[in-house]
Amino acid sequence: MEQVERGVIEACQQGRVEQFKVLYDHYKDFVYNLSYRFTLHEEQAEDLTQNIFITVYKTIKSFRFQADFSTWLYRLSLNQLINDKKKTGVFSKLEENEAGLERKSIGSFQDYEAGLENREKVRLLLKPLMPEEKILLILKEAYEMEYEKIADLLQIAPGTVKSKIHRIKERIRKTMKNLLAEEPIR
Amino acid sequence: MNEKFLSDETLFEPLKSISPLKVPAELWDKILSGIEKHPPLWHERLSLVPLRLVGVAGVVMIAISSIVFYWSKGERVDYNALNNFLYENIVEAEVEDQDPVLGEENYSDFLERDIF
Repeated sequence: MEQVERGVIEACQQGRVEQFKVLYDHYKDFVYNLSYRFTLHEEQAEDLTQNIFITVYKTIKSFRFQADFSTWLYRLSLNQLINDKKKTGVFSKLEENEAGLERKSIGSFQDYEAGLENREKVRLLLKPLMPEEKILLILKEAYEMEYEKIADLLQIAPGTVKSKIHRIKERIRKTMKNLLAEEPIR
Repeated sequence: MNEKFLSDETLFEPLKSISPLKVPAELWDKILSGIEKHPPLWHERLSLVPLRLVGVAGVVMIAISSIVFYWSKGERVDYNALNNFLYENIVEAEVEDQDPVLGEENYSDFLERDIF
């Protein structure tokens, strides 16, 4: 990701809103699409993006230029996604309802392939996962990140990341196998 | 068929294929109102002040004040000189003007004698 100029960050640290708009324009696509991949819901992604940028504005003074700003922003966004998701029961309820509808349309691999939109497939894949697990899978599969990079972002050991992702994938495989083995409910 | 479907490449392909969305134009206004709705708290405002500069200025001011105090109003009293002065002007004077009976009048003079 291309870095924003240091002067922009310094101006934001002094509370200059017009420079914060420059920073926002630079990173908005990244944050919004990360939020969207996580929630698969446009309004929720919008709310999360809003919260993330307000948090950035409030906490940017703590950025000491010891790491890339994009890494700092990545970490902040991931923490915010996990925490917001934990705080709001609304999201999970909404997802449950939506997944319930999808659940009825699954019967076989052909049904899955032909009957579901890409977004619905992803929702089905992510449904059994906790927020932290979703993040791990999204970073690995959607952003195709190396284990070391994920470990660096989430401040955990690369070995832990690898084993967690392996377990997550196995769990999803098991869930999908069960879903596809059942008779469709129509 | 299921084996192929359950492979990493096929099963997680949808995650890679989510197309990026355009950020809604009104999002910035929401963020802006969110920022304005939550002005920095007093301790956050404090951190906006260059505290280090204020600290250095404070230390310099204290140093200057100490020096000024030392050399002017708070000039140290030379107790030896004061002692000598008192001895010469009071004790010795009393000895010189020794009067077997220090009368009321003389005593008043003694009290009002300008020694400083």
